[in-house]
Amino acid sequence: MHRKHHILFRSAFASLVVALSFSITTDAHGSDSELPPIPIETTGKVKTLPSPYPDSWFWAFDVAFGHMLDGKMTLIDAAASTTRSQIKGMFNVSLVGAVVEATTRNEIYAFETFYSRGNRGVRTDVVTIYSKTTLAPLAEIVWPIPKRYQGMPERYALQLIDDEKLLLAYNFTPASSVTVIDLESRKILNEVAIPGCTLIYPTGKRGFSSLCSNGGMLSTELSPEGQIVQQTRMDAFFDTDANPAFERPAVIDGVAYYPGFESYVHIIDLRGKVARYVDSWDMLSASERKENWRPGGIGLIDKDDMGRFYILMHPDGHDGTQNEGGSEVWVYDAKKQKRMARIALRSWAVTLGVGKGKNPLLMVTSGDMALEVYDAASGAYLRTIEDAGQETPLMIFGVK
Amino acid sequence: MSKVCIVMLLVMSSGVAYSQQINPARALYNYQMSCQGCHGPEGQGGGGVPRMQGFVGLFLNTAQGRDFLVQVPGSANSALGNSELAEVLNWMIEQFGGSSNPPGLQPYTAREVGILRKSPLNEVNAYRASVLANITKGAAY
Amino acid sequence: MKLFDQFVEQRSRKIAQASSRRGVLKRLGSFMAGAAAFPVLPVARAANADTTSADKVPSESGDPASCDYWRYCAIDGYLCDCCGGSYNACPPGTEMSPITWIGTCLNPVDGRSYVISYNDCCGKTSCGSCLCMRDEGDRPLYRVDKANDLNWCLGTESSVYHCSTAIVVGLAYEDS
Repeated sequence: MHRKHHILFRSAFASLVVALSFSITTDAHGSDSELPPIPIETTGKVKTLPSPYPDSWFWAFDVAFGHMLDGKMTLIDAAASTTRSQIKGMFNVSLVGAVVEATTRNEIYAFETFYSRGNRGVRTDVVTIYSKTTLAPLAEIVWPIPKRYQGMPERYALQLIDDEKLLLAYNFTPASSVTVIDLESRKILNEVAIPGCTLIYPTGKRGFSSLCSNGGMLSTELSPEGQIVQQTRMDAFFDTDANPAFERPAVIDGVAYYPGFESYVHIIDLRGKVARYVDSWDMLSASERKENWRPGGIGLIDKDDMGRFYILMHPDGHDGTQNEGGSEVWVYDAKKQKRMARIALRSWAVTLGVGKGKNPLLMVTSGDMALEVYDAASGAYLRTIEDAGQETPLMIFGVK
Repeated sequence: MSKVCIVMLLVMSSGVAYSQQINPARALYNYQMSCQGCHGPEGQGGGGVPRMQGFVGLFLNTAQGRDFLVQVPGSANSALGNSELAEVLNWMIEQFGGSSNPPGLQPYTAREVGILRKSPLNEVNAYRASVLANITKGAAY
Repeated sequence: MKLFDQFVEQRSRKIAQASSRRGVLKRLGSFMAGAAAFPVLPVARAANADTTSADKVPSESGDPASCDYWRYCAIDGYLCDCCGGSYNACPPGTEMSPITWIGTCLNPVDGRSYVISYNDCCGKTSCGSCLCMRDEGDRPLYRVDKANDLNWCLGTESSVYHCSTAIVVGLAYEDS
């Protein structure tokens, strides 16, 4: 609307100027017709992206909460200061999907659902393989029977294992299972039932663990052909009613740190064939516990490449505030079990993501769905990504 | 004759004992909170969720089937304590089993449930099919 | 006097907290902004104190189009009451999911906890009206029976989520 007015005004103004200057020989625009003409351009050009992506790039995942058929992942350079240099490209993810980016393959995977008539008709569940350099689809792996998990974005609903040879995708009907895909042949190898358990936390060389309704875990070891070698249950390490843990861990060097609703961190070692409970520790000082600081949000936790995890925290927490986000980001050294920093955010945030490299950026989705960028080390606010074309970016990923 | 009477008596007495062990209000509440979301208010199932209505009693024809009802993930991994789980299972069988229930129902005990739920099933669909196949085989004899 | 000050301070902190929470949803939906201010008043059919118990009728209070309505204590989504449906019925042309999750909420009028079934209505894209996110008793995905973060349009013709209902299906059992 505003832009339209502007153009109208400009053309009116230009006509006026032209009319006024008609009798004068010099050009009132100050344009110089002596200059050589602009070279003729070719049509049909499409840009491509660098490989690997620079450290300061992020994916913002808009699940399009108000119109879920039109979710999209936008690639953003958080270090850039203008929209034209911030926005690098995007691809669609239909119906509250899941995404995961490969490191060693030039591929990014989107787990999606389509209906033949948009919101109705024949359902197709598919993993779409996108090229990281063109953001165009390379291939599709279609589910024989649609059953994929649909819900709030989860980092651990779609995961790569076995040096990125196998892709694992979480199904929920409400029966729980994991589909195993071979990425060389781009074929489905198997569907593994994980009854009573949920999500995919890569475990050991070629396996995964899942969190179960009793607060324990189920570890599944796979053969190279995607068949079950063994499934092993681990005893409960938390009470799912009284003191629940978030299903969203920070995984650092094969060790998962699951934050609890009440600010305890549970350490689960995922380096062996079977998940192993190590320990739990308190995130809070006595005075912070008195203020009842709790983790909260959707993408509430992420990690950097130096062994630190970042988590959204809010005071006065209680049962019911676990999805609400936080006013601060707390930074912990996972191994030392020690807090390194408290970053006070400019505005309340619901999701965060941390970039890669030695000097990572921190991007958060604020309560009013703006993307704010901070320096992760100092906590200094850098900028807000003003016009990313995202309505509900409920998940943020640093690029790989 | 007397044999038949004894059997009938046994059936009747176990039937009485069966119901006596259930607190229906508590069982209904636990069913609603832990099971109804998927299995439906009448145990009708649907959308890939197994139907219990007029069916669940079939499993009680074999020991394997009886164990199965506790070892299914929904039972074994539920947040219910052993005695609550035993009660809700007994209630469901009484409530939904209907004509599928074999005579002489023996209620699950908390102890039995506590032991069985320690070995929950992993590949539940294939196992369920084999349990039912064994039951049908038995019926053919 | 000091006690009063403390009370006021506590209250204002709570309000500040509530407003920042509402800020969370500012763009997701503007509905929450008025929610907390809506007075909880008994509706007309509330029983009078002087009627006999035989005359008393079941009663609930508040506005079913308001996020703070008692039944919505663990809802996460658009209120069907604002979408052409009601708190216990789907809007025209949608399909109610037979599979759902179930929680309890306290009815402040009679002081009883009720079992609430949060069935989703499905088959059209997000209704977009009256977004309401309250998570009391909500648990992550591993507790499927208590998880509101997933799309419960399961077992329906289309899994496209439209809005959520809150249906009273029973009374909570309390050990006496």
